[in-house]
Amino acid sequence: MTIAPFIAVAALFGIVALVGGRRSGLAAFAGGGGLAVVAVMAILLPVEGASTSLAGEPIVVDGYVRLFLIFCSLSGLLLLATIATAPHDGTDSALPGFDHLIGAAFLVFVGGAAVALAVAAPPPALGAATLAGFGAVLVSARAGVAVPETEPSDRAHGASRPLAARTLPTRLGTEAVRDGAALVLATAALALLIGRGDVVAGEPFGVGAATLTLAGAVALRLGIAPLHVHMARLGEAPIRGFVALLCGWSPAVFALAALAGAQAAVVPLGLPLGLERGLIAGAAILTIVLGGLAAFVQDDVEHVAAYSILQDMAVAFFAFTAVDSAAWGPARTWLLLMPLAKTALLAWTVVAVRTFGTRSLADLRGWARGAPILALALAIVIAATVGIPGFASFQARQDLVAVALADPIRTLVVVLSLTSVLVLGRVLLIGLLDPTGLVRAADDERLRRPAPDLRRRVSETARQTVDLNRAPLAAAVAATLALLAFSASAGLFDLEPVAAQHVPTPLPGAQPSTGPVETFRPIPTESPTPSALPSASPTGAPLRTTAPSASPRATSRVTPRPTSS
Amino acid sequence: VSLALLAASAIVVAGAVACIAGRRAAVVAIGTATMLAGAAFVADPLPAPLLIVERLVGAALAAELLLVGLRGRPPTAAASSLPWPAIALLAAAAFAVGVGVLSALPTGSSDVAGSAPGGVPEALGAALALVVVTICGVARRSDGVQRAVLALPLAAAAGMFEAAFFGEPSALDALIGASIGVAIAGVVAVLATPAPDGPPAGAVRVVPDDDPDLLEPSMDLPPR
Repeated sequence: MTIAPFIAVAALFGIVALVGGRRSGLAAFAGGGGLAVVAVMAILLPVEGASTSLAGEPIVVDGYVRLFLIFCSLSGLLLLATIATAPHDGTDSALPGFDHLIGAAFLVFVGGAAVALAVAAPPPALGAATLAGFGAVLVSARAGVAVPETEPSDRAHGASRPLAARTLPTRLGTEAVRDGAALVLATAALALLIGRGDVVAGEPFGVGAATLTLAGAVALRLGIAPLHVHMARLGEAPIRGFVALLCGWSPAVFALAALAGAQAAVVPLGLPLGLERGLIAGAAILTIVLGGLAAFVQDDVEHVAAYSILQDMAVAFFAFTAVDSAAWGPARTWLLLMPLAKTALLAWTVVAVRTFGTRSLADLRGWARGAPILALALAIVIAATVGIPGFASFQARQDLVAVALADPIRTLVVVLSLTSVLVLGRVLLIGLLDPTGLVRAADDERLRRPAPDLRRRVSETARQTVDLNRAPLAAAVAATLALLAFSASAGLFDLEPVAAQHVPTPLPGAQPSTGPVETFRPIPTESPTPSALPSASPTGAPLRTTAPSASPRATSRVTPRPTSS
Repeated sequence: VSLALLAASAIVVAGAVACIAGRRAAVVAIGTATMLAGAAFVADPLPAPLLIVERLVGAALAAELLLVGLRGRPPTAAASSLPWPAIALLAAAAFAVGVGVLSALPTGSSDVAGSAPGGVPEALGAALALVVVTICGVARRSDGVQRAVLALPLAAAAGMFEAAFFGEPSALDALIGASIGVAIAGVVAVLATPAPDGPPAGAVRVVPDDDPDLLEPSMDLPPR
């Protein structure tokens, strides 16, 4: 089986779940069952060592692509199960069809992500990543237009609290514009760097401007400060199940496609680009600091989750300061682990809010005492996010910061980025305090059975049993998702080795050089002899013009380049 | 500079202006169809006929979705405080800049076999014009539907940048480009659908005190 059937099945199930109607059984099956089928297909996906072709584009399905698709579809399935089993509170999942729309969103996204990650040339990869993002926005909009404008679940605040659902269409419309803008910026940057126009011609200023443009596109998608406001609001949106896609998986796939472009078009040039790399690193540090602070002072658990996502995703932005391929493996590891861990965090958020009927941390005091499984889930999420020395997540964080910064700033930034343990640990500590009345009144996690009734059907008994045990069931599913994230973070599944493979090969226009500065001098007065630099132009023209002719579309990242992790 | 490419680029930009500044659903839909369909022809060399058909079908589907989605809404007001002639003139200026810049660059040998060296100036001009049109449209767009419409010229602009510098698109590239247009049109259509139990289209919306998104004038206000 190649990747084409996988894409076709994911798209088919996704479209059926999307257009199947809110009450259709077929749509419900397509949403949940489709994700299960796609997850199995991802597990069975063969890793193709050599490049194959998909509609005229060379593609490579390596171990990383396979792992990404497995984790994405499994996390979607478990998130869907969490939302479906969580106690009903009159908000999103109480709406008919909301659950299978989450399945539809993940299915549509996974199909697009498969193309984006497998295709070798950066321009179509960016297009496919954006298409996957638009697919997620489309399904989110379908679910979001039906979200009620009041939140009856918020018992602590009654009906007086204004809900952001009213502004949800505005946020999703803005997200669509941001996705489009990011695509334009990234495509323009790559066009300048590797396009046939020979526009920047390897000149440091042009390459620097194009690098900043590419990084700006990624900053738009990741919510890097100062472009973080919209992303933070989207993370707080009352479509909780979709936030994982919109703020985690979708930006991660776009960042991966852009990173492949940067590794193939900017890194081989070997230019120092000190100012540009400083700006990128500065923006990443600012986001880590501000995101951590904002998450720490929030009272709303959904806001905490939103800012926590911003803070941790920003670490991946350091990869765009890389001068060599050292950032490739850690960045790919991070961009798979963080969406997974944040999906688990959002699943925890859903269960906590639905179980206790409030989003306020002040009202959630003592929540962990009544919900030990949920507390365990949050503890596992914290461990998966931060990791310990030796874990893939911890190592990737360290390596990404080390790519951009030197000691002592590097150590300081690593410590600052680890404040996510304080952000989430605060939520856990609040849960260990004396419970509030609201928490005492909520269902605990003890298992209950319906009253015996011999005339009742088995299916009805099963339904009642599930209804009586929604809190422990949802907490258990959320804990399972957290365990999946933890196991990946701990380095199981060989994530680190497969992430470090297949470093993008230089594209036309981005030729590797042995002497970085000399390579791009218009008049190579101090350049090595032509024998030392075989591609040097005898006329003194920039070396890019003498690059071997090959289309950027035809160049693939297929050269296996084993990199020790 | 090729006359045919100039004409195709002008059609693309005109479609974008109609898409952004149109006050009626039909105008927005036709403008979008024109923009997305015309974009298939701004390339040197022209793509294979099958790929052109692919793009045309995508453009028609996107227009249909827009027409169906926007039909029930009140006429969409002009996006920008600028009238459409001003937007068109700004787009024309951006187009001239794009064509001029790329034409002025020294043309080396092409990296792509069988393609024009130095890129396609008309495509770059159209890309810049589409970006300028979008920037004009951003002003005073507080409504989610209208904001989502802005993604259409942006997606077309990305395709124009590719056409300008990357040569003939592959089948996958054409499919992705067409699908992006359809997906954005789908987003617009879904966002324009009123909630089942929500207020009817055109109803006055209450501005929440914690969200400045809606402090700007909303296009959902009923006509006086």
